Amino acid sequence: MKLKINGKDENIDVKTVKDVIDEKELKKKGLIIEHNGKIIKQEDWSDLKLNDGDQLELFRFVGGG
Amino acid sequence: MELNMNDKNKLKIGDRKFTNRLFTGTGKFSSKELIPKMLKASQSEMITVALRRVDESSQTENILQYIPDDVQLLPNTSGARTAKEAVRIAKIAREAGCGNFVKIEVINDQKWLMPDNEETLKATKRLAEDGFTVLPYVSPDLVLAKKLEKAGAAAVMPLGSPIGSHQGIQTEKMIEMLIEVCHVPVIVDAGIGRPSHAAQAMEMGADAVLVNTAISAAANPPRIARAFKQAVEAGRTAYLEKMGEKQKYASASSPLTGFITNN
Repeated sequence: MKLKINGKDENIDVKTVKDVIDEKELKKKGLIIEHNGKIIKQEDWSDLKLNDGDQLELFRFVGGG
Repeated sequence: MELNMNDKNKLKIGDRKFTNRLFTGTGKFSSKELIPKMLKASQSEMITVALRRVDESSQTENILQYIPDDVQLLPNTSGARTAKEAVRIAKIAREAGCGNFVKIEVINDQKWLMPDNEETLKATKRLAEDGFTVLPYVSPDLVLAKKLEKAGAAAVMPLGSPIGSHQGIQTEKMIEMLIEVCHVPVIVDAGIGRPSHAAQAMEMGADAVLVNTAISAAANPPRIARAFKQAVEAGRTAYLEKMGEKQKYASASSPLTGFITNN
């Protein structure tokens, strides 16, 4: 599936948002996901089916002043 | 005499009251484990965090797990170059459960990291209208500060000197104007490199200071955090007690009569 993840075009074999996290082996704790401009709650990650051309933004809170 | 620590002396920002007037940041700590220790030592009640895209090459830790629940989170909009980007970051932070507080930081200048006051004003207006408690980081400009107040800012955060420069309060006279005229709290942010700088800002009548690098990059952050706490308290007390004005000439502190002479 063709997705735009954090501004980069990617072609990965996934069906849901959760699959993307697993594929990328990201720690779930503190991870914030925006799907096509909308924040998706963690409990909905497994249910949210992705489509070709969808945009995902993955964020975390980091140290800053 | 006991210090006046009643409610009147608390600092109200948005819907929250703060007893401690030292705000801190989470940037540049050599180890995240130092953050809760620093918070305990400083008793700081509000701390900044930043939001970034996930770096897939490194498993960065969730900074929030190091911050106790009773400490107010102040997400900043660092990385934003326009009002639009700042608004987007603020909204993501709020949706991610960070609460309503936001420090607006819009920067295009990479050498001195001077804030873009115009874009900051725009972002302040939009976010205040959207129910945020907005703390804009700005160059200390009286006219701008009045506009920020009108736009709904909950406080103004003038810089003492460039971020991380440790130069102290280089903008003293400009900040004094803000302190005299602003109805919202004035929080001196950036450039505070030593406890004496923090004490100076508080003696001037600033409502609070925000210190990050001077604490986080110190050899012993909790110890220096405590020194900053003490400096902020000393400066605040001096301000409330209205210290004597500067005089051109000397004024003897010992009696000028009954001198012991050889006559």
